[in-house]
Amino acid sequence: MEAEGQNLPNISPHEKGYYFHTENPYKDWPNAFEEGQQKSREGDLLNAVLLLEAAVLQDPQDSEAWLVLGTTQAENENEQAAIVSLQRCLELNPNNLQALMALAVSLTNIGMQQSACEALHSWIQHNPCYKHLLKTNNQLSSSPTNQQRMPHTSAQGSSLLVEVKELFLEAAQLNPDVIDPDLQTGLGVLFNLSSEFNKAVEAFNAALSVRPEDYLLWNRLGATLANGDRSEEAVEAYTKALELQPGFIRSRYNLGISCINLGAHREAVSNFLTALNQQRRSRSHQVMSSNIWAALRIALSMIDRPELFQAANIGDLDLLMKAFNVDI
Amino acid sequence: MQHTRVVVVGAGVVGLSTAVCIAEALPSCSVTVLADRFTPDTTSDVAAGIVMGGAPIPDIPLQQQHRWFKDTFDHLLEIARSQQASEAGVLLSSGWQIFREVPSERRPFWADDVLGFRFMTDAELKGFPQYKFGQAFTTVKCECPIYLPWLEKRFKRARGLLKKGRVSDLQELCHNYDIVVNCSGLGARVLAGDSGVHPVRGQILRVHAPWLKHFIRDSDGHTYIYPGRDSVTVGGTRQVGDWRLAADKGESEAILERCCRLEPSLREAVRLGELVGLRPGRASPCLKKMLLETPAGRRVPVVHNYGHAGWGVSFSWGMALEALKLVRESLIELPPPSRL
Repeated sequence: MEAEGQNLPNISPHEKGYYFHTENPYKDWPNAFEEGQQKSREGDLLNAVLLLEAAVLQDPQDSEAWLVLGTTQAENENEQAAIVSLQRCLELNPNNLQALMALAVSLTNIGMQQSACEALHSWIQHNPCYKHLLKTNNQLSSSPTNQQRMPHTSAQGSSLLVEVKELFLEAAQLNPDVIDPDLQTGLGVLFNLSSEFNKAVEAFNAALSVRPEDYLLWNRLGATLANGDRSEEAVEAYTKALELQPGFIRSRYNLGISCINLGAHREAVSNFLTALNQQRRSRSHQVMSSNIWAALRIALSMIDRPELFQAANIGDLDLLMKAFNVDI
Repeated sequence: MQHTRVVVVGAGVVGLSTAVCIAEALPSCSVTVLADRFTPDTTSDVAAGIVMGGAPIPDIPLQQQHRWFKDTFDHLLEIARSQQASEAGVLLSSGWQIFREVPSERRPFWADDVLGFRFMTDAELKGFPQYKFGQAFTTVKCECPIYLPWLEKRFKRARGLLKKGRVSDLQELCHNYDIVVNCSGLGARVLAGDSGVHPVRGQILRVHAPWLKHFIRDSDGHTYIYPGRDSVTVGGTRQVGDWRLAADKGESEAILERCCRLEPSLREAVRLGELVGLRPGRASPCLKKMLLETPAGRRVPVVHNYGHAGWGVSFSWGMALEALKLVRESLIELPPPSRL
C-alpha cells in the first residue's frame, strides 16, 4: 500500500528511503508544517504525519519539517521513518541539536550502538555549552578538516561508548547545581547502550525533575525500567506518559510489552490493539507498524485462542477488537 | 542494547557443546554456563569418549538419530584432522566390536559415517573364540578431560561466561535469564521433574598399557578396552538405578578379568585408578522446547537437552546444533525490548 518515495515523480533524490503515503489529502495544503506541528503536539499522530509529509514534499529543503516529521514518526512507533527523516534534517542542518538527540535515541532502539554514540558525540560538538570540552580534551575528533565531524571510528564500538559517556559525565560536572535535561537525556541513552539501566533511570529522573510534563521523558524512563527488568515501575511511567499524551503510540506499545513481561497477556493485547487502531484511525490499513503486529502475535500466542492468533496473522483488526472488547 | 540472556545448565559434554553452538551462532545473546561441577569432575570426564552408535533409540526417528550422530562425528573428525587435535584431545581410534551371536542388523545405521567400516575377517575373529561376528572400523575418541577444557576455552572466546552454582529449580533462573537451556543430565530428574531419568552406573579403570593401540568392545557393552592418549580405559558396568559413586573393588577385579580374557597382555598393565560415572539414563534423550511460567505469570522458554544415557559424547554436537535451532525459535517468541 505504500510507495517508495523515489517512485513518485515529484520527489527529489533526497527523499529516497522515506516511504510516503500515496494518497495524502493534505498534499497541497497551505501551512502544512504549522498545522502538522500542532497536530503532533495534540497527539493526533496520524494527521500530523500526513501534514508533515505534505510539508516536506512541498519544500524538501525545510529541515525543521523533516525534524518534526522524524520525532512524530518515533512517537508513532515507526523507527525507520523517524531515522530517515532525522538524517535528512541533519543533512540540511548538521548542528540541529534536537535532531541529533532524537536520532541517537532511535539508533539506540534499533541496536546501532556505534552510530548512536557518533550522534551524541556530534551533539556535544555542536552544543555551545559543551563544545569546548572537546578542544581542551585534545580529542582526535576535533580536527577541523574532519568533514564528517565525527570521531575517528575506533576498532571497538564500546571504546567510543566509553569515550562519549566520559564526555557527557564531564559536561554534567561543569555546573553540577544546574540540571540540563537534554544532557541528562543523552546520559540516559548512553547508560542504556551500556546496559547500566539503574544509572539510566537516575539520568531520566534528573531530566524529569526539570521537565515533569515531558511525556517523551516519561516513556524513556519507562522503557529503561522495562529493559532493566523493572516492568512494574515501567507501567507507572508509561501510565504517566499516556496521561499527558493519550495518543502516544510508542508508549502504548511499550506498555503492552511490559504487560507481557508481567504475565498480563490480555491487557497486553488490549494495548497493542488500541495502538494499532490509533494508527489506522482513518481510511486505510497502510499506516500500522509491523512491530506492533509482531508483539500482538506474541501476546496472543500466550492466550490459548488459535483462531485469534490466525486473525492477527491475516491482520483482521476489527475481529480482534471485538473479541477483546476494545472500543473503537 | 540489552542482550538476550541465555543460561545453559550443566557443564558436561552436552552442556558445553550446546553453549558453544549458541554463543558462536547468536552474538546477540549473552550465554552463561551454570553448573555445580565442571571438568574434571563431570560425568563426561569418566566417559571413554569413543564415538559409536548402538541399537536405534526407541521413539526417535532413525533419520534424526542418524543426523545427530553424523553431525557429531563430522565435527570431531574435523578436529582430529586439524592442528588442534592434541590440544582438543580428539584422536582417531581403530578397532573391533565383537558379537557372541550374529546380530540381526549386521550393518548399523552409523556404518557409513565412521571410517572404513567392514565385517571382521575370520583371521581377525580367530583371536576371539567365544565370538561369532565382528565389525572393524575407525572412529574418533574424544578425551573429555582434555576436550571439555578446550570447549570451555572456545566458549570463553565467544564471550561466554562460566559460573559455578547449584540450581534446585529451573524457575529460579527465570528472574535473571530470558532463555533457559537444560543440559543437566541426571540432574534433570529433579530440575525438570522427570522421573524417567535414572542413573546407569558405569565403573571403569584407567591402566598404563602403552603397547595397546586397538580398541575392543564386546557388543553387550559390559566389556571394553579403549586405548587413549595417556592411558587405556577398561570397563565396565551398566547398573540401572544404582546411585553408588564409590568404586567397588570386586567389580574392578571382575572388569579386569573379563578384559584380560579378550586382551591377555592387560595382566601386565599398571593400574592408574578407578572411576565411577552415573550415565543419565532415559528411554530416549529429551530434546524439546517448552515454556516455563513464573509465579508472576511471565513465560520463559526452556530448551531441554538431557537424558543421553551412554551416548552423550556420540550425539553431543549434533544435538547441540538442534538445541541451537530451538533457541533460535525461542528468540523470535520473546517479547521485544522496549523503545526509548
